[in-house]
Amino acid sequence: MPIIGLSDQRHLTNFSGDNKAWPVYMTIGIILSRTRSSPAKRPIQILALLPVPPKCTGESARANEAQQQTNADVLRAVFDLVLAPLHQVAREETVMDYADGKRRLCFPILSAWIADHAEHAALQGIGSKSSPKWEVPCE
Amino acid sequence: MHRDIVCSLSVIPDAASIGPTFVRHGDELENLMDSDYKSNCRLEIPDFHTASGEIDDMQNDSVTEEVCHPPVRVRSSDQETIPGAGRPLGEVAGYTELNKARTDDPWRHFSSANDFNLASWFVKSKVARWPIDGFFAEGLGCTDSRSFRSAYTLRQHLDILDPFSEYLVWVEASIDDGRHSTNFYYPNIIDSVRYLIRQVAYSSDMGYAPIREYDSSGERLYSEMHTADWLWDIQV
Repeated sequence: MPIIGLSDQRHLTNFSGDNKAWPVYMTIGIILSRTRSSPAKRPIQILALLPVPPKCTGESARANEAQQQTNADVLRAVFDLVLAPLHQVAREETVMDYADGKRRLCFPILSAWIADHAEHAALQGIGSKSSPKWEVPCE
Repeated sequence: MHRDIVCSLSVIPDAASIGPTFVRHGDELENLMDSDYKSNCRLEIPDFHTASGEIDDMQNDSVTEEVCHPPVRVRSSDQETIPGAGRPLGEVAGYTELNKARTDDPWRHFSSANDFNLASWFVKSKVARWPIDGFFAEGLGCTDSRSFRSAYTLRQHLDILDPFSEYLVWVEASIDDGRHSTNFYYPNIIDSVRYLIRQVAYSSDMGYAPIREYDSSGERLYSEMHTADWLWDIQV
């Protein structure tokens, strides 16, 4: 059972301090794409609303750096918590109720993540000029 | 229904998530006809007896459609499956009863078809709360049998429509980085999976087991996720 994750930071307003929402969604890969891509059938569930931490402290450069490190740690902790149920279930078999009225074995595995480049960079804690996929060899 | 609303209401899916099972057959058929994916005829036909009628219609239609138009799409001529993959282990408890209750009384939780259609129209047209309240305040929707009389009671009606809403329970967690403490909310990911694969509306649109598809010349066809190698390799 492939699980597909999706996420994107959403800029809400410039006023009252640059508010952002950071939703994470999930869907499952075994739903055929004609249904999975149809918003009217609502195949995408919200998985979490990530806390959006302040980008900088407005104090010194060192404080900003520390804040960024903290933010990265917080992000990691949140994902650890949200995806924790998968660790156990992906290895052990689980019997689930399917839409056709039958019960089947199911191994939910997070298999894909749909996000734009800026989002990949934010999630993986890399610079925006780095590749989130692999190390690019120097020529 | 707008995504933001879903966020704020957290456990509340709206009528559209389960509506398609009994009100939007027309739309479903159209979508099926538009799809490039043709091998769905071989998927398991669900037990839900109205759905099986639908699929028969669809197959007949697709035959006539191919007679009318020259074949522009590649059609899979051969399929390979893993024996035993996706085999059912038993019946879901209460499945037939639930479907029977739905077909016996399709306007369940609403007083009549008219009542349901009005609610459905409000939701599909994304009418805001104040026009709905205004609609009833002006006396436009007042018949005796109306089961909701404001945006609030309509929302309450939509809440009880989803038979699987117990899966979507939100948990509050707080993160403390030493200086600030932030709360955030999330549902259990496994329960979200359970919620999605139980939706009767998706039953004819699921790949229950990995397959390998080939066209008439023996070339491998890749289309949906369950036709890819990854799912085939990982199948136990």
